[in-house]
Amino acid sequence: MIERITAGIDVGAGAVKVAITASRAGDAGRVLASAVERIRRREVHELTARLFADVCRQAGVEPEALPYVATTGDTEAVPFATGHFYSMTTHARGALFLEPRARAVLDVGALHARAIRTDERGKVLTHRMTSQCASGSGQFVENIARYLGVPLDDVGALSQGSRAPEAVSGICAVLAETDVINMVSRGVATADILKGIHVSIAVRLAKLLRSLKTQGVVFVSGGLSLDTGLVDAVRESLGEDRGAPLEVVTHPDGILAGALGAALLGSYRHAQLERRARAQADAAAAVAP
Amino acid sequence: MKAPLAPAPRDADPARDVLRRAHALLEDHGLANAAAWKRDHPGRLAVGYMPVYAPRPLFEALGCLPVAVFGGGDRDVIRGDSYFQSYICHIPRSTLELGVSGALQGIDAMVFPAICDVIRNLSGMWQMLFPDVYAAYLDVPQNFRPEVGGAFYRAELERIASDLVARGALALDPERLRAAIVTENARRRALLALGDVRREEPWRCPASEAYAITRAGGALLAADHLALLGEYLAAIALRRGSPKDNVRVVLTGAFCEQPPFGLIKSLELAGCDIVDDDLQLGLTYIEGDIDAEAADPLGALVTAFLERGAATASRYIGDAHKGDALLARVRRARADGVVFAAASFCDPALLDEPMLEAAMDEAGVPYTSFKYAENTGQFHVIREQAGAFSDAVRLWESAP
Amino acid sequence: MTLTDELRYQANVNVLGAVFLRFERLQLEWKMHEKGFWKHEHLAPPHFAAPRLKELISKHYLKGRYANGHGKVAWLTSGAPAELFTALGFFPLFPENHGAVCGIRRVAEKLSGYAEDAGYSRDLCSYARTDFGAMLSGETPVGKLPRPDVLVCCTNICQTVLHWYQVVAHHYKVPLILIDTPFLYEQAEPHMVAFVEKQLEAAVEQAERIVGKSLSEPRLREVTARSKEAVELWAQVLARGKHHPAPITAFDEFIHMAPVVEMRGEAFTVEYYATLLAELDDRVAKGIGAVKQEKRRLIWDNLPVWGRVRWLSELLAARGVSLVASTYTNAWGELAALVDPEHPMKSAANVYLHPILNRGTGYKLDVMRTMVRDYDVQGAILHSDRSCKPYSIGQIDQREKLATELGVPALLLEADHNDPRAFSEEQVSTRLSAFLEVIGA
Repeated sequence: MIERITAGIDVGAGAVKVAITASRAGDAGRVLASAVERIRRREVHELTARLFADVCRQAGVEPEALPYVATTGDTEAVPFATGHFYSMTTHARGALFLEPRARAVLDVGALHARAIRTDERGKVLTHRMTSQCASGSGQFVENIARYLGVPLDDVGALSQGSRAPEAVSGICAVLAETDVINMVSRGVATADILKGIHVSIAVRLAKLLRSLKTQGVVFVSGGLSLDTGLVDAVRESLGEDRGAPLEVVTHPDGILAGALGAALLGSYRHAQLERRARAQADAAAAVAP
Repeated sequence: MKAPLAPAPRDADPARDVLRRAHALLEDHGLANAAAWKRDHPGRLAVGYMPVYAPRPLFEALGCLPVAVFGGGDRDVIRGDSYFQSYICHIPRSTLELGVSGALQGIDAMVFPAICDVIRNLSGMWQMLFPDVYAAYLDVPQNFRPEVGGAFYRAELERIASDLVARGALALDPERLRAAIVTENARRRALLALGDVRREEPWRCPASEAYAITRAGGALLAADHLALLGEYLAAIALRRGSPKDNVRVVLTGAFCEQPPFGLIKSLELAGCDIVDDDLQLGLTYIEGDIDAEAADPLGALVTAFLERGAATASRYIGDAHKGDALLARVRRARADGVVFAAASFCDPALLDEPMLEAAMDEAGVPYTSFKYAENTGQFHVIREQAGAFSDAVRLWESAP
Repeated sequence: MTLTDELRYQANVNVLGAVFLRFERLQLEWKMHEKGFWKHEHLAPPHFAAPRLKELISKHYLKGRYANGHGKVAWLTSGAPAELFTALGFFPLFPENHGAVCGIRRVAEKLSGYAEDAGYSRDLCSYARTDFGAMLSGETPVGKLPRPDVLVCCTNICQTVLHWYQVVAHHYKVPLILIDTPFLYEQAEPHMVAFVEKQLEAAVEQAERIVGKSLSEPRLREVTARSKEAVELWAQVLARGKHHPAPITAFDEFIHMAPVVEMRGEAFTVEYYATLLAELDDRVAKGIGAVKQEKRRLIWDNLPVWGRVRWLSELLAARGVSLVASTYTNAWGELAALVDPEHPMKSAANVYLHPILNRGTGYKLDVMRTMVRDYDVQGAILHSDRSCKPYSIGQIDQREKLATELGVPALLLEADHNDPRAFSEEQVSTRLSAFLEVIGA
C-alpha cells in the first residue's frame, strides 16, 4: 500500500492548528510537520493560508501535490480544502494516533469541552458536551490567568503547587470570575485560586466522562491538554468519585489531535475513494465490448 | 482528486451580483418588489399565497403578481404569538405578524392552499382580522379523478378567478393563460437545470445559493424569475473550483415553514452537499410541462395538478408506496443519505417521516432527522448531528 | 368467513356475551335502586341509563373482538359517513372512540409510548399515537381490536386524519377510502356538495366490492332514518341542559355520547337515547340537578380530558358549578335537521360537510355565542387541547371576543385530551380555582 501525504487543518475558536502526515490510508502514520498559532483577533483566512503554506514548506511538500487536505473545527475559512470532518471524529482519530490505547477523549478547547467514547478504530460511539457556558473551557482559564497576571504557560505548574485550593462557583463563568476577584481581595494565594478553578472545571469534565460510562484510557486533547494543573485536577476528580478507575493520558501534541486526525482520515478517505473509482472503472471495463 | 488549486478570490465571484439581488429580494419577502410592480401597474392586484403549491400561472393570466408568503422567517414576532398556543407551529405566527405589522399592506388577496389544519384555520383568522383583504381558502383536492376532484378543483379555480376579477384583476383570457403556462414551463425547466448543476457539480452551486435564487422568485413574475435563473446559471458556469469530498444528501421535510438560512448553511459547513431538496417544492410541484397548446388551458392546469403533482406529505398518495418517491429522488441524485427536517408541531411532516424512514431503512439508505422552526437561532446541535452523520456515512459507511 | 368463525361469533357475542353483559347490567341497575347506593356530597347519582350504556359499549367492542371472520370491518374517523358502511353490513370501529376508552382507562400514555418509540413525535395528536400504539403492540383495554378490511377517512374533522390513516393503511396493507371535504367558512357551495357526493358514490362502489354485495337503497334509508332519530334525540338530551338546575352536565354527555358516534343507525341506539331523555325529563320535573347545589353554569369548548373527566367534574361540583353544554357534544346533535332519509346520499354529502370542525373559527364563536345565550351561563372553559390543533387554534381570539362582546369570562385551560403528561393537576386546579373566584363560584 502506498504512503499518502495529507494535511489536516483545525481552525478552532482560539487557535489554528495544521499538521501534515504521511500514512498508509491513515495507518502507520508519522508527522512530517505541524504548527499551532493562536488567532488573537487576526483574519482567520489569511492566518490559515499562511500557516498552511509554512507547514507545507517545513514538510517539503508542494500544496498542489497533497492528495487530500482535510479541515476540521468550525469554519468555512478554508476554501482550498478537499473535505471536512467533524471535530469529534478528528479528535477521536488524533487521540488514537497519539495514544493507541485511548478509548475515550476529553477535548477541552477554547470555548467548549466534550467527552467522547470511541472504539478501537477511533469511531465515535457516544459523546456529551458541556453546556453553552464558557466556564468549562480554555477561554475561561485564560481570562483568570490574565486577571491574576500569570503567564499562561505557568498556570499548570502553579496550580500543581497549591496546598489549599479555594472552591469557586462551578456553574457560571461570570460568577466564578466574581469569586476570583473576591479571593484576590481576601489575599488568597494565586496557586490556590488557580487550583480552585481547575477543580471546578475538572469536576464537570469528570461527570461528562462518567455519563458516557467510559473505561480504560482517556486521552485529553485540545488546548487545555497542555495545562498540567487541569489534567492533575481531572485525575484527582476521577479518583475521588468512586467510579471505575480511568487512566488519564496526555501528549505534548494533544492540542494537535484534531489536525492530526483530520490528516489521517483524509488519507484513509482518499484511499477509499481511489479504491471505489478503480472498482467502478473495472466494472465499466467489464461491461464495455 | 486534486485539492488545493489556488481558489478564486472571493470578490471576483461571477455570481456575486445576482446573488446580492436574490438576497435583497429575500430580505423583505419580495414586498418592495411587489410594491414597485404595483406602482408600475396601477389597479392590478398582488396575490399572496401560502405554501406549498398555488397555481401561479392562473394569477399571472389574471394580470396579478403572485407573491409567495412563506412565513416571516426569523424576524421578531411580537403580536403574532398572542394568537396561537405554544403547540402550534411557527409559520402562522410570523405570517400573522407580517399582517398585523402592516408589512403585507400591498397584498390585495391572500390564498391559503389546503395543506393542514393550521393553514386552514389561519385563513379563517385572516378573514376576521383583515376584512378588507380578499382571503380565499383554495381547497386543492385530495381526489385526483378528473370527474370528481378535477371538476371540483376547476370550480375552485373559477371561483377564485371570478372573485379576483371582481376586485380588479383582468378577465380570465385563454390566450393570456396559455402565455403564462409557457413561461411557467420555462421557469420550471430552468429550475431543473439548476438541479442538474447541483447534482453534477455541487461545488459550483451550493444548496444555500440555489435556495436563495429559487426563493427569490417567490415575488417575481415567472419571466423575471427566469431571467434571474438564467443569469445565475451563466455566472456559476464561469466559476473555477474543484469538487469537495462531501457527503451527498437529499434534504426533505415537506417544507411549508421554511428553515432559517443559517440551518442550510450549517448543513453545508458540516460537510453535506445537499444535492436535492423540497424546500421550495411549489415551484416544481407539477412534474413535467403543463400543456401550453391545450384548447382549454384552465383544464390543462387542472389536469397537470391531478396527474403530475409531486408526492409530498400534504398530498394523498393513494395506493402508492410511501417512500418510493423519496427513494427515486435519492437514486436520481446519487445521494449517500437523507436529512429529514420537520418543522416542530407539523402534523403532515411528522406523520410522514417514520414511514419514509422505514422505506429508507428497507433500501439501506442512511439518514438523520431533526426538528426546526423558522426562527431556530442555534445551529450547533444540528451541525453536530449533520457532521457526525457526514463522517459516519463517508468513513464507516453507516448511519451514526 | 368459516362456519367455525361464525359459530364462535354467535356463541361469544349473542349467547355468552349477551347473557353476561345483560346480567351485569341488571346487577348494576339493582344496586342503583338500593338505599344508600349514592353518597356523593356534590354530585347527583348517575343516570339510571348508565348501566345500559355500559352494556351497549361493551357489546360493541365484544362484537368487534369477534368481527373478523363474521363479517367485514371498517375503521372510520368520527366524522365519516358511517351510515353507508353500517347499511352495507360492515362492523364499524372508530379509532378515536377507542382512543378515548384508552384515555379513560389510563392506558393512553403507555400505548402512545409504543408509537413514540417507533418515531412518532409527541408533537402529534395523542389519539393518533394511542391508535398507532395499539396497532403496533396489539394491546388494548377492550380485549382485542378487529383487523380492518377497509379504512374510511373523512377530512371534515381535521386534515391530520389524512396522514394518520395513511399510516394505518400502510401498516395493515388495506384499502383506504378517502372522503375529502372542502373546508367551509359559511355554507357549502353546490360544487362542494357535488364533489363530496361523487366521492361518496365512489366510496360505496369500492365498499361494495370489498363486502361482496350491493348497497340496498331501502336499507340505507332505514339506517339514515335511525341515525337521524338518534341524532335528534341526542340534540334533545343536550337541550335539557338549559333547565335550572341542569339534569345533565357535559361531563355526563362525554360518556353518553359514545353510541351516537359509534352506533348511530342502530335501533338500540335510538331506544337508548329515548330512555335517557325520559329520565332527564323526569329529573327536570323533580328539579334534580346533576350538580346538587348548582350556583354557576359554564360551557366547555373542545374535547374532554379523558383521563380527568371524573376529577374535573367533582372539582367543579364541589364549587357548585355545572357544566351545562359543550361545543364538542353539540357537534353530534347540531346537524340533525340536515339529515334527509329520503335522499340519503345527497344528505350525507351535505351533513358531512358541515361539522363544526370543518368550518372557520368564526362559526365556532357563533356556536358559543348561541350557547351562552340559550344555556344561561356565567363563563366558559376553553380546553386548549395540545392534541387537537384545529379545535384549539382561534381560542385565544374567541376568549377575547366572549369577554369583550358578551361579558362572559373564559378560561383557557392547557391540557390534552389523551396524553396525561400534558396535564398538570396542580396547575389546572390553581387556574380553575382562580377562574371560579372570578365568576363568583
